Amino acid sequence: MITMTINKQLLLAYLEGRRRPVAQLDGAARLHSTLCEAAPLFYLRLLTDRATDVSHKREILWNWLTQAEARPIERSQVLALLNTMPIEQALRVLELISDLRLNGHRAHTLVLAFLLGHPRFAPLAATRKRRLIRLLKHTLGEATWSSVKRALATSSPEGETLLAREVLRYAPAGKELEIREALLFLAGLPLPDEVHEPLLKISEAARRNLELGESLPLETLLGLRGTYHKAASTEKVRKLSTPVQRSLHSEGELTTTYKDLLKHGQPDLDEKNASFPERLQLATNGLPLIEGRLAVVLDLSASMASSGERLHHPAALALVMVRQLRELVRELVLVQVGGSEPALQHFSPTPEGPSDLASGLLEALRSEPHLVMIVSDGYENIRQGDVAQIVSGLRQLEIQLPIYQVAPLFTVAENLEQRRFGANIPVLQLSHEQDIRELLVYVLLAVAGEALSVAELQQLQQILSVEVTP
Amino acid sequence: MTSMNGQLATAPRGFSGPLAGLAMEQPQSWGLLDVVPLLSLEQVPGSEQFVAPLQYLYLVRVHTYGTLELQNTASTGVLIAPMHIGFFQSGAQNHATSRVILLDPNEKLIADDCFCIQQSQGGFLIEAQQRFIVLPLGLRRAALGSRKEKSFSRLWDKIETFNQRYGIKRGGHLERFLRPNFPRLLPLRHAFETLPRQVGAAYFVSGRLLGVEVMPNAACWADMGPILTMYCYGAAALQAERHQMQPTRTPLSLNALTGLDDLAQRLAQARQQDAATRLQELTIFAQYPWQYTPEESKKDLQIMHMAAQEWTGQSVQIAQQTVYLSVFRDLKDDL
Repeated sequence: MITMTINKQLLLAYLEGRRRPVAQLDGAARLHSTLCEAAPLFYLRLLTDRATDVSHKREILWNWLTQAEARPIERSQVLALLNTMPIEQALRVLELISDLRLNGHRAHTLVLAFLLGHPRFAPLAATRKRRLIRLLKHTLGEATWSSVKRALATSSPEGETLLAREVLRYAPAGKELEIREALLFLAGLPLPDEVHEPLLKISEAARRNLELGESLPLETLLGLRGTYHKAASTEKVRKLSTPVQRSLHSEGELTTTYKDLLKHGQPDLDEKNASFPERLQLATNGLPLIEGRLAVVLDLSASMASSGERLHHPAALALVMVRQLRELVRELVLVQVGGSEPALQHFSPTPEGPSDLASGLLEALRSEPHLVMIVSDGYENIRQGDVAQIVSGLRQLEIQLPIYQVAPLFTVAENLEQRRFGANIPVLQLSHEQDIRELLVYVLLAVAGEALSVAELQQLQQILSVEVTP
Repeated sequence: MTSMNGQLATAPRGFSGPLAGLAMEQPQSWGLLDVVPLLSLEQVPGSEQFVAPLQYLYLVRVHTYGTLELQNTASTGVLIAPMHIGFFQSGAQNHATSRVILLDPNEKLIADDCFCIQQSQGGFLIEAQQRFIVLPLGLRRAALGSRKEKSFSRLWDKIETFNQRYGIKRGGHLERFLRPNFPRLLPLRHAFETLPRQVGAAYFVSGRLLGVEVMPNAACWADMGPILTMYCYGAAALQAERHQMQPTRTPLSLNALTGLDDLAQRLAQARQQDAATRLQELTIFAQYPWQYTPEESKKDLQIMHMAAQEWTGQSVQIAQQTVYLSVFRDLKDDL
C-alpha cells in the first residue's frame, strides 16, 4: 500500500537519470534518499523497472538497508522484487552487501534467503562459483562457512543440525538435496555420482579438463582458464562456450508485423495479419489508461524507412508506439509529417518526403496538449535546428509544457549524438515496443500536479512494474 | 484527431538554360550543407529509357591499371554511368572514372582513362556487381580535367593534397580520407530525403552553390542522390567545417515574441527568405553564358562538356534536352 507522495520534479530527475550509472548522475545519493524518505514502498518497487541501470538498484537496496523510513518493509517484499529481476542483475544488486561489507541480520538473511531459496541456485553455483562463495562467506562469516564445509564433508548429527540452522532452512521445501549438492560443489567437495543439476558435474570436470566444460557460459570458462588452464587460448575458450546472441537488437511481434507490411508496401492489414488488433490489446493489458491529452508529432519522412539491417525498423516501431498510445491515453492528437497516407486511416503508410518537424510541433501545440512527443529518427532537415528554436521560442512565451524527442532505435547502443534536436529537448529512447511504458510514465507525469497523488503513484508503479509481454 | 503536415511550402518554380524543365522544392539542410531538391516539371521524352546505375552498372574486370571494363546488365534501357564513380575493394587497387560513360543495354565497354585512387596498393579489382562512391568534390575538377589521359597514377598527388586538407598526412590514398570520416558522412545519407518525382539537386555549402546534379528520372536519382550527397558534397561540408565556415540560413528571430501565431509566422518568413535566396542563386546559375563543347555521341545521345566562369562539368542531352547534368565548382578558390 502506497501511503506517501512524491514531488514530480524529483521523480522526473530520477527517471531521466536512471539509465546512466549512479556515478554519472550529480546528486544521485541525495536523490535516492529523498525518494526513499518520501514513498519508501514505491521507491523500493523501482527495483523491477527494466530500464534502470543496476547501479541505481544497488542504491535502492542500500537505502532499504539503511533508511529508517524503509525499515517497516519486510524482507519478503524485497525478495519478491529481486525474484522478478534477471538473476544476474539480482546477484549484482546483492553483491553490494559483500562489496561494502555490510553486516546485520537484515542484509545477511536477504542474501541467504535469495540465494539458497532461488530455484536456479545450483546452476548459479556451477557458473558463478567464486562470486557465490564470496557472498556466502561474507553473510555466514568465515567461521560458519568453514563449519558448513566440515558438516558437508563428514556427516554427523551436530553437522546436520548446523546445516539445517545455517543454510538448509532457506531451501525451498523438497529441494534440500539439490541445495546440498550445490553447496558440496561450492565447498570444493566431491559430488555424488548422480546430481540433480548436470552443470555442477560439467563445471567440476572443466577444472580438470577445459574441453569437458563445453556449453558453460564464456564468463565461467574464462574464469576457469585463469585459474586452472592458463595456456588455453581465448579463441578456444570462446569456441567451447555457449553461443550467445551478440546483437543487442530485439523486437516485438507487433513491430515485426509492421516491418513486414512496410516491406511489401502494403498500407492495410490483410488476412494474415487480421489478429493484429487483438495482439495489440494483449500487449497493452495491465497498463492503465492515462487521463490526458498527448500530442504526437509522427515523423514518417523518407529517412524513417532507414536502410540495411535497420530497414523499416524506425517507422515500424514508431507506428506501433502510436497504436499503443492510442489505446492507453485518453486523447491522442496525431500530427503526421510525411508518409504516403494518414497513419490512423491506413495501417502502414510508406515513409516519404522531408522532415518539417518544427511546423509539425507548432501544429501539435494548437491542440493545447499536456505534452508533445516528437517521434522521429532525429534527421530534421527543414531546417536542422528549427525544432530547438521553436522550443526556445515557447519558453520565452512561458509555454512550459514538456516536449520530448522520442527516438526509435534499432539497438540501445545506437549513437544519437548527431541526431538530437537540441539541448532543450530531452530524448526518450525506444528500442522495443515494450518501451511503451517509458512513454506512459512521461505522459502520466505531464498530466499530474507537482505532488503526485496516491492514485497517480499507484498508476506509475503499475506502468513501471508490469511486463507488457503476455 | 489527426492531421497531415509537411505539405510543400512553395509552388514549383521553373528555370532556364541547363535547368530548363526543372523546378526547385523546399531546401533541406543539415549542418553546413543545404540541398535544394530539383523536380522535373514534365518528363523529357525518352528519359524513362534510362536505368538506375547502382542496380545495373557492373564492373566486369580491370584489364590493367587505369583500364576498367564496365557493363550495363539491363537488357533494356540505357545506363548513364555518372562522372567520377569510384570502386573500392579490400586488397585491390581502387579505381575511379574520369567522365560520364554511356552504355547501351547489355553493352560491355572498356574505359581506358580511369585512374587509381590508392597509391602503392597492388592487385586488380575482381569481377563483382559493386556499390560505388562518387569522388569528393575537391578531386573532381582534376579528375574531369584529365579525362582521356592514360596515366593511372595521375591523381595521386591531388589526392595527397586533398587528404592534407583534412589533416591526413601523406599518400595518394583516398580511403585514408574515407575511413576516419565515414561516421560523419553516413548520417547525410539519411538527413537528406529524396522526394517523389525528384530528379536532381543543387548543393550549397555554407551558403555557396557548389554543384548541380541531375539524373534522367526519379529512379536514377534515388540511386545516385544519396551517394553524391555523402561522398561528394558531404566531403566539401566537412572541409567547410575545418575552415570554421558558418551556416548562412536566415536565423529565426525570437525577440519580443507575442504568441504562437507570431512564432509560426517568423518561422515561415525565415524559411521563405532562405528559399528565395536559393532560388535567386539558381536563377543566376541557370543564366550563366554556358559554353557547351560536344564530346562523344551515341545514337541520339550527346555528351557535352560545360563551362562557365569557375564552373565545369558534363551533361548528356537527348534532342537538345538535358537528361544528365553534373556541374560543380570548388568550395573556395584556393581549396
